Amino acid sequence: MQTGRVAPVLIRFPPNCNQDLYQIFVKMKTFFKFVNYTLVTLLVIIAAILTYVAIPIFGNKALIVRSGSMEPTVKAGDLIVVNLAKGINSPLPKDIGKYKEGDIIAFKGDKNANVVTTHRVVSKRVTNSKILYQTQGDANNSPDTQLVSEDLIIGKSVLTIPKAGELFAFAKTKQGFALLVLIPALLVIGIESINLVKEIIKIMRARRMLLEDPQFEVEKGALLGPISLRVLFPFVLGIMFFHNSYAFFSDSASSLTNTFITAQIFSSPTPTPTPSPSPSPSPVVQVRSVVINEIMWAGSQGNSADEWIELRNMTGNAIDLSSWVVENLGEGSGPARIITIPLGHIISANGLFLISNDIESTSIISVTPDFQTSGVSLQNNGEQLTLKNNLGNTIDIANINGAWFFGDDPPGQTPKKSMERNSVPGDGTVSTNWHTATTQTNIDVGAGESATPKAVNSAP
Amino acid sequence: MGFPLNSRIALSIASIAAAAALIVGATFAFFSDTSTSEENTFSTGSADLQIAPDEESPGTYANDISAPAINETGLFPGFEKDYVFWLKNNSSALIGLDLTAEFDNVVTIENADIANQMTVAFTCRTDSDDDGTLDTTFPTSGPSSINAWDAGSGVLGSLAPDDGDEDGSGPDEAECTAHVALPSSLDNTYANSSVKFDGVFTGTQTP
Repeated sequence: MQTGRVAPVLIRFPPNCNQDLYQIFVKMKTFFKFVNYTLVTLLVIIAAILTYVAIPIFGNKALIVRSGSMEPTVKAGDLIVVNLAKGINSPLPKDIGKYKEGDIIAFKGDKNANVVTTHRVVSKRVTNSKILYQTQGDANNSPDTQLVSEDLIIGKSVLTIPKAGELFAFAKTKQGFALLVLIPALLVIGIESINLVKEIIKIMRARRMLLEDPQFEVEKGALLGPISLRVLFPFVLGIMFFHNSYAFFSDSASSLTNTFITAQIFSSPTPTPTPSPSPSPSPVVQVRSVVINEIMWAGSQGNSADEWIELRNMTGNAIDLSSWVVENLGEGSGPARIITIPLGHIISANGLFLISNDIESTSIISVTPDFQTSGVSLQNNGEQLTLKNNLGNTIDIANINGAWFFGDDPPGQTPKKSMERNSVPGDGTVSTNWHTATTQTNIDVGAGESATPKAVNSAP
Repeated sequence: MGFPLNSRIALSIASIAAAAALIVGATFAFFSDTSTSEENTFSTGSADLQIAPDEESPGTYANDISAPAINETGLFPGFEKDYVFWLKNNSSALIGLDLTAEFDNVVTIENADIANQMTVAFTCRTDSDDDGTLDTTFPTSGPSSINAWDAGSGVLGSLAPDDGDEDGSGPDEAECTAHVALPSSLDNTYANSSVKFDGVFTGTQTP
């Protein structure tokens, strides 16, 4: 007689045993047999499902979702099954794509095919006869920046198994691999090796016993192997076929309504010798109608605060500079460093206008500044100055956001040199339109500075 | 009665062989799988990229710089100017962000070609070793025209996960400069024209 294959030990009941106890034993045996078959059936079903979703030959691919931008539909740690693109029977005509808006698709990166993203299709467009999908994570506030072409799409999500990804992801770590695959498999090998030895011994013993008693019944040992292998199977499949997918998080920050407006007319100013006796503000904005003509950014020998800038009227008309500003000329830091020219200040036709930190008596300049303000402060490491009219229109820009193009600030008690605009001013942000002063005009006697406040610049 | 011991031996041997094959197969798969990782990480939370407009150091970060972020008038041929802003990874998820820039809602008045003529280049710097100095400069993206920025995005660099402060230090913040330029060859047909656009900066989770 042969009893159930998985019964660990054959229990023999003598003929005069307690019948109630025997009945309980029979029922328990039936119950455990049922549980065993149920477990085996369950494992077989799970293995079959996993085989179906894991092995690409069936048209599916299982992906472990590593990040949560598809929440709440797909959470980090879920396992999703995508159906390969060729298997999709989309209700839409082929010329507008296999996937429709709302589908969750998995796609490879255009730069790195190993990086798989799972996001939802939010729109699609046709460019050069090629269908491109715009995707977005449900939890993201903006679409992905890259459009997805169909050749990069792995498939459409057809099934989500919550939390299963975490288990398989753990199996893909070194610790998980050891715990869920290596150790159980070695355990199976160990136990089965012991069983093997035991069975061989039994054979040898049984042969001896059978010779003595033909009715001898053989006891059965434990057989963990096949069941353990079935448990191992999903993890091995997971390691071999389940890959990572990312529902990448993204967020956007915007700089809204940036506006750039060109001047009303572009002029190429040419100085004209005809002076105008009275100021007549120009009705139109003329860029470089007034230019920043000279910058004494280094101060003077022994007085680093002896700084000034000179404006030059490039037109034949006097211009009212009231409420004009020079940005970055003032004290402190940041764009708030603005010097505003007070009301009533006019630059004569083709004339020069001096804005100075010091008055004549405390400065090396030997002429009276047109506008003196103790707020004039220039950074020695360079900066960009912007001249704007009373309407806020940019009239001229000098230097770049960086070191001064020219001028000289030698260390110690050595005379300084200003930075002068060329006689034909050109674009003030281009270094070739500037030079270092080489002559001295309107400077105190004895001062060695090279500069020309309120005088024609040195050549060129 | 049959004698089942031989089939049981065969089953044991098969089990041992199958387990050994599983070990070999799984080990091979484990070490050849590029997605196998030391860390069993799952990113949860949310991404948050913030922007601040200051030049010297970042001020108050916000989701957007409200309109109008820049309002520059009186531009002339040869105009060039730098506009500085800061970007910060403020994500609650422990993730790095890859940064891209693009323009949106481009509107022109008068000469629409001004959006082809005006160029913008972005250069971002970050403090990779968190010592307070912006020591790492990402490659400049551009210069490209306003229309080109509208048609596609450019890569600016990347930000590390949030370090908890907003002082401009650390690799989670970047100082970016937009260099705006107009060709000096523009003629008067471009005068009195304007171009308006939104700058959209996107941070996408670093793979």
